[in-house]
Amino acid sequence: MNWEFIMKYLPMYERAAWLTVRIGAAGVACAIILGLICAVIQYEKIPFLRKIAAVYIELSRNTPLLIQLFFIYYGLPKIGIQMEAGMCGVAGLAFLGGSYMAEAFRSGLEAVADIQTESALSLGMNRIQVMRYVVLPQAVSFSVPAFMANVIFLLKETSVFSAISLMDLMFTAKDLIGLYYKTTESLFLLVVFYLLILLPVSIAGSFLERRLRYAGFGS
Amino acid sequence: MPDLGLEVLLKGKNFIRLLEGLGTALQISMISVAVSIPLGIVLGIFMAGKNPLIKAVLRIYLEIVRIMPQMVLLFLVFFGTTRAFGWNLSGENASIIVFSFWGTAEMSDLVRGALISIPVHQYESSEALGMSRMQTYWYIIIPQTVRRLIPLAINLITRMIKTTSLILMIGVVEILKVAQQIIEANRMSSPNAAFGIYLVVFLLYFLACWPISMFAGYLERKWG
Amino acid sequence: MEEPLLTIKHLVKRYGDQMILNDISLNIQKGQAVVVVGSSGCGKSTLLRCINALEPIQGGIMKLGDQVIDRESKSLTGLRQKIGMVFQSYDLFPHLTVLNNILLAPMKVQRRKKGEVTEEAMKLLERVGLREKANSFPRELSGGQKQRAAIVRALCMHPELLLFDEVTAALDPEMVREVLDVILDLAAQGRTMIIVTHEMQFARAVADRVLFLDDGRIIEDEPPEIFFENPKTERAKQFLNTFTFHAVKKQTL
Repeated sequence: MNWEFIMKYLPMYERAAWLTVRIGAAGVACAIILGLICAVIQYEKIPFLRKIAAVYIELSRNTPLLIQLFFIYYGLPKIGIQMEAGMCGVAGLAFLGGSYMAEAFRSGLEAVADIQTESALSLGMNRIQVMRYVVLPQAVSFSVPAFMANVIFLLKETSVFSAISLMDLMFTAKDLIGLYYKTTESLFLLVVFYLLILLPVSIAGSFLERRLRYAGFGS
Repeated sequence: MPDLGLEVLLKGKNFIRLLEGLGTALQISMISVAVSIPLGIVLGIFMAGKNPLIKAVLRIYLEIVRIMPQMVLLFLVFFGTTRAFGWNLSGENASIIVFSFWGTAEMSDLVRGALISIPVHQYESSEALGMSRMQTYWYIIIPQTVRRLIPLAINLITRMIKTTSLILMIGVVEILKVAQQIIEANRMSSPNAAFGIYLVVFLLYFLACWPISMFAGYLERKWG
Repeated sequence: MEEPLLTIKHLVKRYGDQMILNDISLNIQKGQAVVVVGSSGCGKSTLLRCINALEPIQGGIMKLGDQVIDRESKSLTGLRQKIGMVFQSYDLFPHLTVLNNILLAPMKVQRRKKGEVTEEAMKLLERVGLREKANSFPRELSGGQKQRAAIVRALCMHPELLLFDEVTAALDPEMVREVLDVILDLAAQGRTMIIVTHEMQFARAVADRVLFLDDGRIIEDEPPEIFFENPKTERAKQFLNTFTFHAVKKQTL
């Protein structure tokens, strides 16, 4: 292992890692919003919108992110929708993640007992109040395990961003392997940086899950 | 109607070539699934078992596979083995190794999950009926486990197909690569081909995965 | 005679082809405690759910005072504020403390001041023996305590009518009493209530009027003394008999 090489290219990996984190975080945030909207639409069985949400979810879940990104980055500009690569990354991650988040929230919503809605209604709340004060807070905590799994899944999926010429960790590693044949060092740094990004999220996830289980909602 | 570049598809063997590209990806997925499922079942049974050492080792294996993006694993095997062992793996073989390695871990976790989700009283009540351990497994536990497992295993196939799209990144000629070639070759005659071709690629992937997902969903509802 | 608080005329409720409530007509005066009994599946819980507009109905009309109870009506939430309901199983909101469970609707729905509602809530909690549990979460309470808290939550909305849907059916036997005592106390205050219960001793003690439902119809409507001593119908006799056991003579084979 050539430590000199590692030290020299550490800053390059660092920049690449920040790119992954930034686009990953923005993509996940958009996916959460999109997912929440779809989940509520499906839970409340809003006509028409519900059909659109269902079609979107099927399209998103049954196609790989790489293909979605190619379509967004190379295909859409041809019909006049042009975004820079970073935005495409966020859009792609949101498109993919929205459906996964929607499923997580929807099963969270469905896990809230009917009696909770009924007793809130019988206290004179309207549907929006029932959703906001009673159903959503419970649904969110029910969906934490699936939610955290999705966050990790989406962050891992960011590893295809180099395909739309974003200089992320994979791009950097491939570049260095190609330029200097320092395969061991480049791959070592690649693994270390992905661990630095993903391990904390994974640990936070299991911590949160344990705490919620301890808090033991329900009867 | 703006030019969406769809006419390129009808030129020569373009569409056939795209389908062949998808075929390559699907073939790699199917081989990986065929390896993953039996291996995963065996490992999953061990993971639900009692030997703490085996469980710990398998746990570490699972966690490593879980935390690393498949893309990174693919790089490690494709570039790393050349360096470490002097192997010169083809992209196809490297991807089959990685996806089997990943698929086995996922499958074993599904098997473990299905096994431990059978409530203890199922074991107890069949033993209370005087069944032997073998009979308990054969008549009570395995049928319930299999019903929970099959939809999940089918879903693993679609996940595998989606994951296989990554092989483009280590230079395997598959559907995206073919698409790129077609677009490049027709750059002058249809400048908008990227839209039409990538849309078709998107839809082809969807058509490959969607029926499988629907079938898994159907089984889940039927047996749920 | 005074205008009835609750008027039900020819109420019909079906699930598909299945008739649940078959032409129910009923008037309830202010201050009456009405107990509804009947075997399971006779429609008594459904009746309460219809009164609170939790179920769509297929015929008839229901009025609280002069306001029609209608699921489609714009003023439904206002109407429901006047009807308090306590359910069989734990309907407290698990993510809120007991006090916040009680405060939520008065503050968000009725827009009352927090201080004023808190004061009232604490008084009521005191009355049902739960003052020191105000800041506990539902999961830290026993079943009986949860039901008492749920009653306080309903009371804090100042309802004109209270509906109790088998509130003790899911409780351990030793907790039934503490909940029923609270309801007896409410009856003594002259609250208007409809109580669905399987506790016959309690029914007799609390009721001004007993309704016996069978197959979706009210087939007896009597003061408790008469219903429990001399039921008119054969069905009611059979029903009351299910609550008594006769000693078994061991047969010699």
